[in-house]
Amino acid sequence: MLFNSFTYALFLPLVFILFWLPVFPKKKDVWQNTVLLLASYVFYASWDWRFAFLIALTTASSFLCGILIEKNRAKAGLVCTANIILNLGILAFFKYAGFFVESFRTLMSLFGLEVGGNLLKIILPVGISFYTFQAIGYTIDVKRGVVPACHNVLRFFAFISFFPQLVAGPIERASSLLPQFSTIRKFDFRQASSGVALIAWGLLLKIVIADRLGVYVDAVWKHPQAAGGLPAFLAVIFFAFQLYTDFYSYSEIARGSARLFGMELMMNFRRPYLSTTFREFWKRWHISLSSWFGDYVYIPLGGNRKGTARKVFNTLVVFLLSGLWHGASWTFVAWGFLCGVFLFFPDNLLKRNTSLKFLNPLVVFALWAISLVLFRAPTFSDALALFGALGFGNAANLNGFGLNLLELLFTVGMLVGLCLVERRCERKGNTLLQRYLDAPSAVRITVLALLVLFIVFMGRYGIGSDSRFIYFQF
Amino acid sequence: MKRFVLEILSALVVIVAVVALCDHRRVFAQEERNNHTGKAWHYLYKYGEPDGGGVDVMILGNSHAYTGLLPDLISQTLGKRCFILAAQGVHMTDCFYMLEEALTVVHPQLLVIETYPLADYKQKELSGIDLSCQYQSFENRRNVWLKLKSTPDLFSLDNAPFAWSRTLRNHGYLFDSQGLIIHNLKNPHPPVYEDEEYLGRFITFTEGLTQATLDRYETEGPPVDGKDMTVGKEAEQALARIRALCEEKGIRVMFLTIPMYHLHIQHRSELEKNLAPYIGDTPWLDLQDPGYDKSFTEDCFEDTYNPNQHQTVRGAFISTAHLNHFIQQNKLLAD
Repeated sequence: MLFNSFTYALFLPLVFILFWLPVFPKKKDVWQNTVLLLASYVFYASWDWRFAFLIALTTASSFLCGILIEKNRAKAGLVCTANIILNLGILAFFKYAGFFVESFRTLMSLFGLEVGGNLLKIILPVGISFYTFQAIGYTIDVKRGVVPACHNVLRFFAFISFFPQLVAGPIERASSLLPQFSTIRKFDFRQASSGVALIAWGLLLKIVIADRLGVYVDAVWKHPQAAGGLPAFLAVIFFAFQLYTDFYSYSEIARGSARLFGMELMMNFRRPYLSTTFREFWKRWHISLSSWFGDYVYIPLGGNRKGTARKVFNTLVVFLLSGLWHGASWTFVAWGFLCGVFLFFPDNLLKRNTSLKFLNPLVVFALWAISLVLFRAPTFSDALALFGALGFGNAANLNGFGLNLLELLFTVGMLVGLCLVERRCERKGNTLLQRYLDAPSAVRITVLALLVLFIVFMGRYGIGSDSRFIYFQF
Repeated sequence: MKRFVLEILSALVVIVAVVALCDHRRVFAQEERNNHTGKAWHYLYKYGEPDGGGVDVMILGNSHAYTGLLPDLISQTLGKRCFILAAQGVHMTDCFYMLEEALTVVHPQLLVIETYPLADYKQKELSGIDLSCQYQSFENRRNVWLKLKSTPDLFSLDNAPFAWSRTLRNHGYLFDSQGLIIHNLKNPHPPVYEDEEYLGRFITFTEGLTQATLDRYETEGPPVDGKDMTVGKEAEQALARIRALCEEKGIRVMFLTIPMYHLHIQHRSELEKNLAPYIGDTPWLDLQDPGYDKSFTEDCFEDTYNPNQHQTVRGAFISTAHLNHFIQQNKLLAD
C-alpha cells in the first residue's frame, strides 16, 4: 500500500475514524494503540502477509530484551548484543545473503577457485532496514539508561510498527516516539490540519515532481549512449532532485499522517541542497539515519575524541556502513565511501571559503549529484557508461527521453519553484504552514482544493507510471 | 473535530466537482475516431429500442471477433440480425459483464463465444495496454448500476478511479495533446453517429502475409505456441457465469475459434486440448483445426509476426462462410 495510492486514500481516513471513535473513555489509550497496531499490521501485510511475522519477531525480541536488560543490569551488555545480533542476522539474511555469497564467489574466482551452488532467491521485506534500526536503537537506549524499558506489549508493538513511518522512516528514537503511545491523544485542530497540508505537500512533491523526474532519469539510464551530452548531464541533476523529492515527500506524508493521530514524527530533511558543507549536508539529509549512525556507531567507535586518524577511520566506517545499509551492492559501498571522503575533501576547503560562500551549496550539490551516479547505477560498468556519456553536446535531444519539451520546461520550472520556496524558508523560517493554519477557513479549503487539483491535473500517474518510492527498496 | 471534518469534506467536494465537470464536459476524452466500442454500444442500444429490431445472433469476444467476421453477411445469409459485441484486448471476465449489460437491451437466440478471450489472466493485475483496453471497454458501457456492480471484479482498488474518470486517466493530454483538449472544449457533446446499420465490425486488414513474414516463419519458427494458450481460473469462472446467464435467458451457446495462420502457431492440437474441457459438448467451430488450413491462405491473415494475429477481409469472409454453414448444419437457430 503506497502513500500515493487510492488504497491509502481510503485506508487513512478509515483508520482516522476508528482512532477517534468516542469509545472506551476509560481505556482510550488502549483503544487508540490497538487501532494503530492493527492498522499498521494490515498496512504492512498489504505487501506480503508473511513479512508481518518477521516484524513481530523483531519487535518481540526487542521487547523482551528491553525488560531483561532492565531487570539484570549486570548482563545488560550481553542481552543487548544478543538482540543486535539477532536483528542484524535477520537483516543480513534477507538483505545481504545473496550479496555476501556472490562477493565470496567473485573473491574465490580471483584465486581460480570455483564455488558452486545456487543462490537462494530471497524476497527483501519492505522497510526491514528501517524498523530493524529502530528496534536496535531502542535496545541500546535501554541499556544506556536513556529510556526505561517498555513493559506494555501493545504500546511497544505499536511503536515499532507505527505505519506512517514503518517502511521508509523516519527512524524514530524510543525517547521521542514511545512516550507518545503512553498518553491519551486528544484531537487538535491545528495539528490535524497541518497534517493534511503536509500530506498534500508530500503528494505534490512525489507525484508532480519526483515521478516526472524519474521518467527522464530512467529513460537516460536505459540508453546512456544515446543520451550522451546534455541529456546525461541533465539526468544526473534530475536524479539528485528525484531522490530528494521522492524521499522528502515520503517523510512529509509520514509526518502528516502521524499528525492526524495526534502524534509527531521527527523532520527527516531540512533543505539539504542549501548546505554549505558536507558536514552540514548530513545534518539536513535523512536526519534520522545520520543521527542514528552518529549515536550508535560513530560515537561508540570513539567519534572525534581519539585523534585525526581515528576520526577519519570512524567516519569512513560509518559511511561505508551507511552505503551498505542503502543496498546490498558494491556500488552503494563505493557511494558511501565517496560520501565519507567528501567530509574531509572538499569540506576543509569549503569551510575556509568565506569570500565566495554563496557558491558552496553549488559545489556541495554538484559533488553530491555526481556521487549519486554510483547510487543509481546497478553496476560499476553502468556508472562508467553514464560518466562517459556526460557532456554538453546533443542539446537537440534533450526532450527525447520520456518528457516532451513542454513537460521538460514544466519540470525545470517546478524545480526552480521548489528551490525558491526552500530559500525563502531558509531565510525567513518555515512560515508557510503557519500562515496556512492562521488563514480563514474558506482560504484553507481553497488552498487545499487547489493543491490537490494541481496534483490531479499536473501529476505523473496512471498507466505506465512507476509510482513506487525509491527508499522502499532499502 | 467537526470543523476539521467539514473543511476536509468541503475541499473534497470542490475537487470531485471539478473532476466530474471535466468528465462531464469530456475535456479529456480520447479521439472518437478509434472508439469502435462506443459506436458498438450506441447501435446495440438502438437495436434494443422497441422498434429497433433486436439482435438474433450475438458474437462475443475481443478484436479477433470484430476483425474476423462479417456480421452483415451472416445477417443476410441467415435472415437474422447478427451483432458483434467485442472490445479490444478484453478477457472473459469483461465479456461476461458486456453480455450482462447487452442482455438488458436485446434478447438474442444464439450467442457465439469467440474463444480468444479464454486465456490465463489475472483481471485485477492487468497493466499497460491490457489495462488500457479494459478501461475503454468499461467506459463505453452505459448501465451505471451494472458498471458499479462489475467494478470490484474488473479493477483493483487503485485502478477503479481511473476506470470511472477519463480526467484522471487522460490528464497527461495537458502535456502531449493540447489540440485534442481544445477540440473537446469546443465540442463537449458525445459523438453523433449516423443512422446506419452498424453491426460491430471494426478495422479492415486488406493486405495478407508478405513474403518477408513467411520467411520469418521459416527461419524463426511460429511466434505462438498452443501449449501456452491455457485457460485460467478466472476465465473458467467467467465462462460459467456466461453459461448460467444464457441458460437463465434461454439463449443457445456455441463456441468459435477464429484462426491464425497455420505456420503462426505450433502445437495446435495442444490448444484444442486446452480448450476442450471448458467447452464440453457445446457446439464448437474450431477453424484453427488443420482441416481448415486449405481454406485459409496467406492472404487471409494480417501481415504480422506479432503473436496477436488478426484476419483480413478475405479471412473474415471465409470464417463467416464456415460459421454460417455450421449454424445452419447444426440448426442452432429457430426458423
